[in-house]
Amino acid sequence: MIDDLYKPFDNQNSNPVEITANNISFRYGKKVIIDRLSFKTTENKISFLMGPNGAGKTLCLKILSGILKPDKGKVIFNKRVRIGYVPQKVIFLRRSIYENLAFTMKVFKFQKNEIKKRISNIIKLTDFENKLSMSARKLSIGKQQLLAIIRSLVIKPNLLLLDEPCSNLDPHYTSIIETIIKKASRQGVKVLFVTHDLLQTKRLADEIIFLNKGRVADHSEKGIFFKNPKSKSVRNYISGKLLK
Amino acid sequence: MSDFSEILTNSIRLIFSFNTELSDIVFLSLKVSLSALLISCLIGLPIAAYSSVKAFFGKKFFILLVNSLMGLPPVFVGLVLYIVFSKSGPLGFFEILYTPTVMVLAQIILILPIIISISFETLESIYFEYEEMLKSLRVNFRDSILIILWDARYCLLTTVLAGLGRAMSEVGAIIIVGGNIAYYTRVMTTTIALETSKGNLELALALGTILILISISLNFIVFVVKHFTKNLSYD
Repeated sequence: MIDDLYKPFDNQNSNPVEITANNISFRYGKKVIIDRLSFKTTENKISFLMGPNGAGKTLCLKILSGILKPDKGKVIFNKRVRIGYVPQKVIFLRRSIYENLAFTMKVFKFQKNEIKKRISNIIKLTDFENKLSMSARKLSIGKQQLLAIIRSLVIKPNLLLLDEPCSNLDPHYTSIIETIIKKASRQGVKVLFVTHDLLQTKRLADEIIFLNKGRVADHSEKGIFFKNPKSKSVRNYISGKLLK
Repeated sequence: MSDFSEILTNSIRLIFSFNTELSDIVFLSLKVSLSALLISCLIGLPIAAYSSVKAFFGKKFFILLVNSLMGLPPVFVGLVLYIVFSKSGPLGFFEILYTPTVMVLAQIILILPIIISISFETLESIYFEYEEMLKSLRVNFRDSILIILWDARYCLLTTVLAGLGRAMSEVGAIIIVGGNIAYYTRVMTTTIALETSKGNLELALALGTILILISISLNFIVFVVKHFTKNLSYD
């Protein structure tokens, strides 16, 4: 069953991860990037984090993933999380594709035979099956993005944090990645996705959290977001106007 | 000119005569330099990796200091060690002056900053690249150090070679602390200095030739290793 590949490590527990950002603030020097940010994601939905450049989306994702600590406020999860994080700029160890995947699994204490088995199964989602000994760093950008998604899934996460995973990708790879994300979500993995791509948002999102100037400007279901946006900044963003 | 060709011929003859004195000198040189290199790597690489991963108070000053120590004058190192380990010195009770042990120590002091400084640059750039990924996976501090050391292993070969080059060519410090005692602390560089001053140019040139051959061989080995491991480095 290839769909088993997407099941989170705690698939026995039916309730998916719920993220609560509680009054988070973050500043670089004197510049406030995130200002008292609060939101709560809806269970079992693909949540999109949108907003103009500099709105604080990437920073927010880094705080949620634990890479950065907020100056104020806190992030609350309703259960123990295992996070699969795909950064905007994908980085791999100076090792083979197999070793990069195995390394991630070793960090999460997977057994040796399980590592081998899971990698040989999950790699079938890609066309890297016969390239496992190749350097991960020598793959094309598109393939690196795909491998980064696979790397985030290989640990059986119950939360996927994806920072523009389809940027610079052609429709072929975008479609593969979107299919993977949809299947993972259906299997109970909570997905939080950062993007600028309105069409992709329409295709994938269940709910959208719109950030502007480090704060939540809108948080609504996809239908409402596109048809009847609450804030002026969202209306301008959707219609392609520059946000000040 | 004929003098030079005669000296050159005699020195080459000396190399191929497998003279015991010559081989002892070469063996001791390698023993001292390789010991110093091994100890310096065992101390220097973890320090460089620690400094790359950890942000600590005075880190910039520490790196500046280490970089400055790369230019430490060997004669000064020899002099300080001589004072410290001489009979009346604070550490004279160790009784290691004029022994290969203190020669190793002198070379460690000279090559440790090179090992730390060059490897720090390599390791820091790798950690800078990996940092976000390692943090997102909650990889602990010790494992982060081991990961960057492992992934930098082929780049670090050049650092090790630079350290060995410095150790092998060193003369100022070890001639003071070793005393250049025949069959005991006499190494290639100190013998070259001594035999040149005595006018025994054949032995000096023979040793100089061996020194250069060792240096070329080491560079060649590293080149070959790097060439054949290019794919293994996955960079």
